[in-house]
Amino acid sequence: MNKLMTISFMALITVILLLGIVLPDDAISYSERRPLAKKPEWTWDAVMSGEYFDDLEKYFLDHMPFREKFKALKVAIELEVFHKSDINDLYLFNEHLIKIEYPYHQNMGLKFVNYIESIEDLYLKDNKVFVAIIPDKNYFGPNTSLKLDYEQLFNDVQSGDYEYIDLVGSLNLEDYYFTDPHWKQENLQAVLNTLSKAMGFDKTISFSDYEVRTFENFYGAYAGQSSIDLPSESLSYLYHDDLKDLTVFNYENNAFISLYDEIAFEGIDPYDVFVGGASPLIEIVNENATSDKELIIFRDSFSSALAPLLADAYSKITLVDTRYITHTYLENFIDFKDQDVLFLYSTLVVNNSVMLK
Amino acid sequence: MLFSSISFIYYFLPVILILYFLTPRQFKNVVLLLGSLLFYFAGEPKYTVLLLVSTLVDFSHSKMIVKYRGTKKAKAALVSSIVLNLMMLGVFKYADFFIVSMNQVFHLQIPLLYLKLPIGISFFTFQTMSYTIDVYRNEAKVQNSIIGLGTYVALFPQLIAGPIVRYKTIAEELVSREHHFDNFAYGVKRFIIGLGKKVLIANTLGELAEMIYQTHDVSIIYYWMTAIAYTMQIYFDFSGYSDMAIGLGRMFGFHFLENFNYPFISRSITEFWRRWHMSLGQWFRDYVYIPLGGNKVTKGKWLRNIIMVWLLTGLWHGASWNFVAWGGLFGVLLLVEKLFLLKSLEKHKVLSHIYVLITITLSFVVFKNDSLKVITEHFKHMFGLTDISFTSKETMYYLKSYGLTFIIAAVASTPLLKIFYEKLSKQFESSSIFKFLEVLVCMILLIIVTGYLVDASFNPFLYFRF
Repeated sequence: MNKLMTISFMALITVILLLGIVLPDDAISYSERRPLAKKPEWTWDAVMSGEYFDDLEKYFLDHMPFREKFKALKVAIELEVFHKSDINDLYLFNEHLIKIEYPYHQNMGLKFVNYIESIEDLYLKDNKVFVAIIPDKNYFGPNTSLKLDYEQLFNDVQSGDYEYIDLVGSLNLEDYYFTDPHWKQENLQAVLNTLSKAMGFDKTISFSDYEVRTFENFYGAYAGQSSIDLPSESLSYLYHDDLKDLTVFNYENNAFISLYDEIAFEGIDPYDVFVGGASPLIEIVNENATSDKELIIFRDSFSSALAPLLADAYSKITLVDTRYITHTYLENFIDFKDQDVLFLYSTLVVNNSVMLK
Repeated sequence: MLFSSISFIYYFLPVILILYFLTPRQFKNVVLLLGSLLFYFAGEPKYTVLLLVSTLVDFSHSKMIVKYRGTKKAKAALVSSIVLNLMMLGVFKYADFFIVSMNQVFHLQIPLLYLKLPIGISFFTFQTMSYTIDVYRNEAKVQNSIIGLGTYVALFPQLIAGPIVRYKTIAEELVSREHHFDNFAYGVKRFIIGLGKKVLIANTLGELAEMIYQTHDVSIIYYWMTAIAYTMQIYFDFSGYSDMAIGLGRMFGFHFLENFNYPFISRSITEFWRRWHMSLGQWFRDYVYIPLGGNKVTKGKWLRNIIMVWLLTGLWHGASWNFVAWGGLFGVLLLVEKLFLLKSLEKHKVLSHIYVLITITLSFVVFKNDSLKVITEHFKHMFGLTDISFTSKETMYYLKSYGLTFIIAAVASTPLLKIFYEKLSKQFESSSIFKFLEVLVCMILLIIVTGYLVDASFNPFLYFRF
């Protein structure tokens, strides 16, 4: 049997060595949404500084044969054998991957309120200002999980000088993707009703009149982070012919883009199908809108899916993501007058509000 | 390069093994030496020259010792070799520690050297010193081949994290060693077991141990939990590495001595240090304690010898006062045990065991933290001398999440599994199914460890920098 042990060991390590050499390298890990390491270049400086060997290790790790299978095996052992409660702060609950955001940093919550109030002071003296907070998925997770002190967080946000819109009652876990932190556009009817009631806008397109267009084989951001072997899900967007004449302008690229960009389905993050994904400043203009009201949304990525559903109610919607642009620059792009203004952020941003510029 | 890395297991190791076994016997050491230098070069490109210098110093000095044996020149060669080795260690490991201490005590402004610590310098300098001293004492034959001595010094299985392999242990095998399936298969088993200890247990508990610095929800239990996790991490990390080193050595036909023998089952600190990092204890015993007179001197000198050895043991672990304090603490405990406690400890089997476990856990709080303030805070929290709660939600969450890992680690730190395995082996001695299952389990374990390595972001080797 010592022969068998020797042969098995040598066969295993040698086969993986050969496969590692022979198999072609992938450029991108779609599950992890990142480019994979490239083979480092052999230069005297890189070798002598040790950088070459560090990069080589990263390259070997990224191009290990059966890499995804190995990762899934590790996660299975962690969950099934060691009974770990989470993997990289992600856990499974009702087939949903949920990220633990913990604890609540009250200084971040209060900083968030101050941040909004400072923008109000700077630009929004003549505007109706609304603030709504989207609970992250962990809000709906089991009580045994580590969670933010949501009650305190919502109380802190409500303490600001603006109209607060409570979205908690309009959402449940099923309104979010299984493997992604975001909400599903097709499940936002209750959210729209709540916002419409509070903000006083009227939609001209009935929710049931939207055409649901679906992309299969969607793996969300959490799928790659957890490496848990889960089935893919579908990602849908809502289309209506009344939206075909909208113009969507991306200030970052200085170009017109599509309201829904199906090319994103072939990219690293299919969620970018909604108004092209993360961008500091986007303007959606609807010449055919029955209302001449305009809306500015200070937002994170959740608003990408919501904005198209508001396009029939406003003649112009400006999406501002101050994670990527300093708010003091905004006067160069936006003429603040009497627009409705909605600050719409998830609890994940509130608890890390230092990222808002 | 780490043993627990994809580059080592799936690239370096198969290539060096294939080359080694394809090479004729008379050139095997050359392959091993070149492979070992490449292994070290991948981790410390610039400091590889230190390894070569260390080898040349001890090669030339040992030749002089033999040439001038019995004369003052032989002694001078020994002293010169020791001074050069200690100087290398002093400059690269302890210079900044010494300068900082001097600056603090005497309010000086001596600039620091900021030299990067060469990986494994404490191990290979101690090994080379043991060689020259043993040659001087006539306890080891001089190595006439620079390839032979170079292979001993640079031998990659034990180069960077021990065990401290004495030259005389493998002197004969450097010249002639057997290669057969028994050796290789045993080596594979030890290597994979070591990998499992390191990757599955030590790294997992290491994640938990680090959480004490990140939590916002501390409790008394949290402090104990992370302190125990760190103690376990150190054990499984280092003993896992020793297993891998012993296993790799065996694949190439070398028999290294054991370095750990289930230290957590000890019932006194004296016994603990007979079971923990045994190669270091033996080194200090043979090259410091006994030359100082050991216990065959006056009581005062004996006390001095023990304290000196343990302060040096602490200092060997790191250039920081907490390591010196850690070593000194054990020196005092060993003295107290030898003078007063040992007989009582022998009578109370359960209490003595608890005493050892608590003492070791607390000692590793000192080992881990280099600030007296942090160490004092940790102790205060652990013994409820502050206003933190007994437990907390976060404590219970992580206790549940890591509970099974703790249980597995606790069982694996006793000889229970070994005894169980030996009984099974005896019972199914002639069963080919049992033997096949043994191979299967090893390969499955290697595949699981690979999964952890591919997905790993946390993979430190704690004993690397010693």
